[in-house]
Amino acid sequence: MILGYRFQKVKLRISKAGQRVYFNTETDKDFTMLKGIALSVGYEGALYGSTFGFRVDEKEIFDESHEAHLLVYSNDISPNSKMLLFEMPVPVKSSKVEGIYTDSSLQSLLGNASYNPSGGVISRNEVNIKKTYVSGKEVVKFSNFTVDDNLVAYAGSGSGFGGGFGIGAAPAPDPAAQVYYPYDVRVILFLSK
Amino acid sequence: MTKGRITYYPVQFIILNPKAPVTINTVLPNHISRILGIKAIHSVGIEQMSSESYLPVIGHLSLEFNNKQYHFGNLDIPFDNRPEASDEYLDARIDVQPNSLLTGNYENKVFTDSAYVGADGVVTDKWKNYIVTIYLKTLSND
Repeated sequence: MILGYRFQKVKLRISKAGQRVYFNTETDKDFTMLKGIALSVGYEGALYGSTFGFRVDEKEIFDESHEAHLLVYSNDISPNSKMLLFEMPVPVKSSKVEGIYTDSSLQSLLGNASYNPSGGVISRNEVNIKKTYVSGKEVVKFSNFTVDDNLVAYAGSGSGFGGGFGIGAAPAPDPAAQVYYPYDVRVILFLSK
Repeated sequence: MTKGRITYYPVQFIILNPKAPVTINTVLPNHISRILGIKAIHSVGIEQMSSESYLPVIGHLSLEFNNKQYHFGNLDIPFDNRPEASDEYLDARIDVQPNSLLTGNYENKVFTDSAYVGADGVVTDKWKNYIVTIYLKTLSND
């Protein structure tokens, strides 16, 4: 017997600072509504500044700069209190879903000195460093994912905030907020009939 | 039945000087037809200046929609890195005009003393830039 709902999972492993992990899969064919989404991490300290973009059938639900910690439950938080439940469930039918998790992506923007002297809105082109969504026809199997090694932050000397914009010019992380790698992120899709 | 789908649109802005107000001025995408909820949060940066995990107010944000025709109000922005931090959206029912501006101002309220910014307005090494994000829960018709 098939239950009326299912939590479909995709597991991602973040191996180093600034890593971007892309996945795509398709929703279970027996379920027709995507009612919610959550991320689960074993290591909460990694979340702040990390982002998660998400699309269904090539239509964006979350921009790539959506902060991951807004979607997360961990040992301290029950799933139903942090899972984002969609007010309008997203219709699915073996739909293609894509996601992109970027570790520490917002920290890389802190060193940008090219804005107005007081600051201002960060342009979309800079926030979404590289649009990673792929519109290819192939659907990668569940839990398969690819890693973009060219986009690794903190490759520079960690010289603080003096550098210009660039992934390699990200500021050195605060020792108090030290992140340990690798860590795993599970993407949980709440499907119903 | 309402047509369209809900998307979440973030607008990030950076604060580079503790005493200088930040002007927000950006065009919302054409596919956004309605704002259903608004949330403004600190994203990154403050944790490099404070060992606290919660500061109730780090700044004041004023927001206007539809080319300054609709003033949403003034919001206090907290710094909240606690796991139990609220992730609720403020209710809003704003019909968005095509290609209209989202405007506003942000005024920083923390780390404004002379240790962080000199009399000449130049920030010291103790000051760290930080980012605030406005999340718009929107009805999209794309």
